[in-house]
Amino acid sequence: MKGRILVIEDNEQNLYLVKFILENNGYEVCEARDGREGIEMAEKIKPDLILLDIQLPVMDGYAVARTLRTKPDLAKVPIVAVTSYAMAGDREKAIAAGCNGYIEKPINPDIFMQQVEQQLCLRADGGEGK
Amino acid sequence: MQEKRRSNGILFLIFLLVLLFPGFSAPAAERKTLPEGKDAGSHILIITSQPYVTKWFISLDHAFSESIHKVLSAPAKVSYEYMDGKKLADPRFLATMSHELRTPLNSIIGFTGILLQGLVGPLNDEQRKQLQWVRTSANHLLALISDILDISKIEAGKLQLSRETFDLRAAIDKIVQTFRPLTEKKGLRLEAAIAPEVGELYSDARRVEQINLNLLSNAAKFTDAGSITVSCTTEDGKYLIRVADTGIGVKKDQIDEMFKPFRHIDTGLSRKYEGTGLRLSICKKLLELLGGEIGVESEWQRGTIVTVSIPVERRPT
Repeated sequence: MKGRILVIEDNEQNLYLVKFILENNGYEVCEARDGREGIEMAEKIKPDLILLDIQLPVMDGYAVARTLRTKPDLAKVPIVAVTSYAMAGDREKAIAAGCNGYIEKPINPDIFMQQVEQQLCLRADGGEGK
Repeated sequence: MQEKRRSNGILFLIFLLVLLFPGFSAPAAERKTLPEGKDAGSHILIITSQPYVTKWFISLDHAFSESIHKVLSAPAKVSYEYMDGKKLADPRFLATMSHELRTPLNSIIGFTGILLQGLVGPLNDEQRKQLQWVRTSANHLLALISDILDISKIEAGKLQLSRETFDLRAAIDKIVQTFRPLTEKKGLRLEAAIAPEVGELYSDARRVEQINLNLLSNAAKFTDAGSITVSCTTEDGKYLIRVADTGIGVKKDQIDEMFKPFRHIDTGLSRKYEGTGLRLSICKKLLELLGGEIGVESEWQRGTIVTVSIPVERRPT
């Protein structure tokens, strides 16, 4: 197992898609369907990386990222926003909320793993990411 | 299956009808399932930016509901909402539209991609070919949606530009490389000639990339033989990016028409080369915002040269 990734995503098909790609590439995937569940899950399983949808029930992705960043034991876990909110300023908003990276939906399965692993590598190198 | 396809087709048609109606800034037709559950049928919400279009739909209401009912083989509730241009141009509305349209595309592009990667199992040649068509069309649809949203945002004055210093040479090289597989497939020569003095640019990197991308994709689309040459030089504090092709060209009197959204010049052509004709109008509007210019020289059946100028605008230190 290469690592454990938490996917916080409420859309059934998107979740299946991301999970399918990650599992096929040797990662263990945990899932959460809304923001609050995502935070609880992150505290419980201490993932190596979090993929975070922005439009989520109960608590949106920005709020999830901000909350996760207040938790010392999760401070170093890279959070990558995966969202179809591809408007100007969305990337900046995600980064300002504490995300390390941003992947725009529709995801491109040909480069998705590369995008995810880039964030994992930054973490392994002790880098802060961008 | 047949009916489902038809219903999707009709819904899409409605969407396009509403979307393409002149004077619309960012309308939408949205289909919703009623909360009572699937059996309750579909709810079709038609949002228009023109009161008379809303009235027209309402006048058709009964016949319209009936035909929707028939196509869906289920009761359908159709409702209409008039939104003025301001509300349609509301960034939140555009963001929601963008999100709503991209979510289903995420599934289409994503699952097609993993099937094509062979992650699910081996494909035969026919399956591969058909899935590649699905992928190409889905990417095309994604590009159209992005273009329509862009033009809406620009026309509503809601496009936010960012400024940063980036390497223009690297940006052009990257775009040229992106197009290499396509031009090789078409048997075209693709050359880049970037002057040594071309370096950093202080502008909106994403939008400059979009302009270059649009120019190259137009050149690649309208050139069936010969070459495409991308060059970049500096002149009077400006970068000049020139994309020259040996494609079908444009008649002199039609050059201005090229910059109008949704105008494809020749009906014969638009049959051969499908598209909305949005790319050049987006380029022109983006360049106006970035303080640049765009010009076209062309000779019918011989080729086209599009020249873009962007101020270097070095970051004040």
